[in-house]
Amino acid sequence: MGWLLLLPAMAIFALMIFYPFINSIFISFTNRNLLYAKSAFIGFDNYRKLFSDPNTLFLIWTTVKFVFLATLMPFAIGLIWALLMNQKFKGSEFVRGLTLVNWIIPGIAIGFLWSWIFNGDYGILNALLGKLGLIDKNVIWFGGKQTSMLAVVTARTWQMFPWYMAFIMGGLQGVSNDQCEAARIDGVNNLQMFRHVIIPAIKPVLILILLLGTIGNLQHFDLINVMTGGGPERATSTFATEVYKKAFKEYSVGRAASLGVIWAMMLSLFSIFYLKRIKED
Amino acid sequence: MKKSIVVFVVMAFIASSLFAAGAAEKTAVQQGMTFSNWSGSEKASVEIFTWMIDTFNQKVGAEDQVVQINWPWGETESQLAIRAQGKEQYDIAQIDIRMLPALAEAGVLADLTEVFGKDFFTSNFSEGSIAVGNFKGTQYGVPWTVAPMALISNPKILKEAGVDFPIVTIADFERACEMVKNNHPANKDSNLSNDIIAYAAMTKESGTAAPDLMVWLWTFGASVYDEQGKCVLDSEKAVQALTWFNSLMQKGYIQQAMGRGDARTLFKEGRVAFYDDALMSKGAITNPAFGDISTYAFPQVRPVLKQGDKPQASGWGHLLVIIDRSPKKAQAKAFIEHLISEEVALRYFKENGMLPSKKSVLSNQAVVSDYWSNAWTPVLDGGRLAETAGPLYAAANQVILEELQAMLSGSKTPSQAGSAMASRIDTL
Repeated sequence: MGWLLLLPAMAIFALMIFYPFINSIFISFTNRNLLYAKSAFIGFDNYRKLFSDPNTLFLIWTTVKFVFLATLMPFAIGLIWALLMNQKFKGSEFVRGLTLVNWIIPGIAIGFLWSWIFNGDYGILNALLGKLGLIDKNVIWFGGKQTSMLAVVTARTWQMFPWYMAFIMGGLQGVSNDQCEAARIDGVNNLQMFRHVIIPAIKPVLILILLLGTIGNLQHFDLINVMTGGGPERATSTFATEVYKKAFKEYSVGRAASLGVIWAMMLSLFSIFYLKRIKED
Repeated sequence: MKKSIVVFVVMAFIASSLFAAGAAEKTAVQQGMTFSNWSGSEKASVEIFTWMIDTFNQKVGAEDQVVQINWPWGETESQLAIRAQGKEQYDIAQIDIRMLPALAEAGVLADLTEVFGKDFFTSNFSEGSIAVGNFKGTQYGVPWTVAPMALISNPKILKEAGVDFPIVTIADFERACEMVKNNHPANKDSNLSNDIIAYAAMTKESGTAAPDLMVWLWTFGASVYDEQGKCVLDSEKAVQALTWFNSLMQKGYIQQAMGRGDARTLFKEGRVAFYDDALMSKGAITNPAFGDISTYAFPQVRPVLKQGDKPQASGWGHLLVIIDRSPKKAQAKAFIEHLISEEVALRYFKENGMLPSKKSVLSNQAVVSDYWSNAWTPVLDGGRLAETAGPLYAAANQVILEELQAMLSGSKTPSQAGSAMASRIDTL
């Protein structure tokens, strides 16, 4: 009976996750192209091409760079914001609710919003910097490799810091007031309180959200696709944008699948850490 | 026992619902004909497309009624290919001319000479229009609206910058760009929000940057592929063209991260002196605040390397095709004839500015007396399909864009960029 009840869930899992995953691995060994009905088994050719392409190494580098910056930046801001919001001041609940709006807005809309802000010719950022006398000619933010990454990471930070804040605030609620008061009586200052009382208390939450944030950014697609499409010169390309480009722009599904398999392996590493962490907790 | 019955009933319900949904879809598709297009879902064309289809449906029986299916422009090629591989019925489609080689090679399209007869094309269309619907000697497309891309200039900006000579050669073009950059009053004041870009060349998206760059390559006598199909973007002429294009960046005439949408927006605001676009751009660049469009937008042929050279242009247009698997080719033919008929084509032109392709409609007074299409007439002779058009279109264009960006940012020299383009495209 137990197995019978599990059957619908198992069937859905097999149909929605297991079959596409196994099929992707199979496709990665073929020359499958969206334009043609027939495809042939080509062994490790897709993988060979992938590893002999210098762009693959660069893709790993840009993905790591994006994931690192897009995880740490909103995490740091979210942490500071959570500490501020945890102080019971007048209107703190309203500000906390308002902060969450960023996270609720769809990624595509945020992408367009920040594309407009950073636009080199009619963006509000250049207009502001010009008015302040900080620039004497328009900066083409999406034209430079570093500046386009900065733009994408800024947008992602704006989108995600409320999410980190919400989790950290949850952790802060669990910090014992007695422990804090005892520490105060012992004469600790704010920094010492933060380092030796608060951080150890919320450490499990911090590790979990860093892992979840890393996994989320490894999968992240919409903001980058809208803002830069992975350019210029692949400077903001990640596995997500590259797989999309290979499969749906170049129709090379076999190549996209091989890239997807590598990507899944990277993701599974972090997922294993995450699952281990949950088990430990 | 009760629980297992409940589980069984739920699963049977889900399975039957899925089956029923599939069956219903199949039945709906098999009735009448399907016309896949992207324009019909665009705000500016919804009304005219509905009218086009309704007027046809009023003339035919229930079994030949046309229903439209819309996909975004960017998904049309893949959707047509994927659905043609399945068993879904698709009869007629609107395609962009650059999609033709890939869809023809994939075996999706019907040979229209067999459907319409050869005389239909020669007696109704110009040679240039027929050619854009032809791939490797087979006529797959009926030209619906075809006009090459042009270099669109803003005469008002040029006048204000002191440009009082015609732009014939690239030397003229460079001189005009220099005058706009250095002499135009908007570029001299401290307000950054009204700066004028001399030439809004495409540098952001592969689908526009690569085909536009190809025209400059052709202008310098270079090409993407040689006759054997080898990529020759490392040739002397190609490097010469790339060096010239790079010099435009170094002199500040063009800029990075420019897409067609950006260029149109900036042109509409009176902040671009030159940019490349198709005839259908009229709606996107019309700005009533500037008065009559003839005062601020003038389409012209691209400048040539030296006097007497043939101006080069990139082909642009929409074709009507019949899906090879369609069992209703004769009815599809009737629908296409309806779409290109004088009444429908003229209304499409008047409401959306889409230039008719049929000779008899092109000579209509309404078309001849229109400023925009008239100004386009000198451009109409040229128009080559992007050399990369075909199954590797997106991949090859992406390589060209990435190496172009590397060159424009100074990461690579024109020679290095050309070599990288050639070697990377050859290994695709």
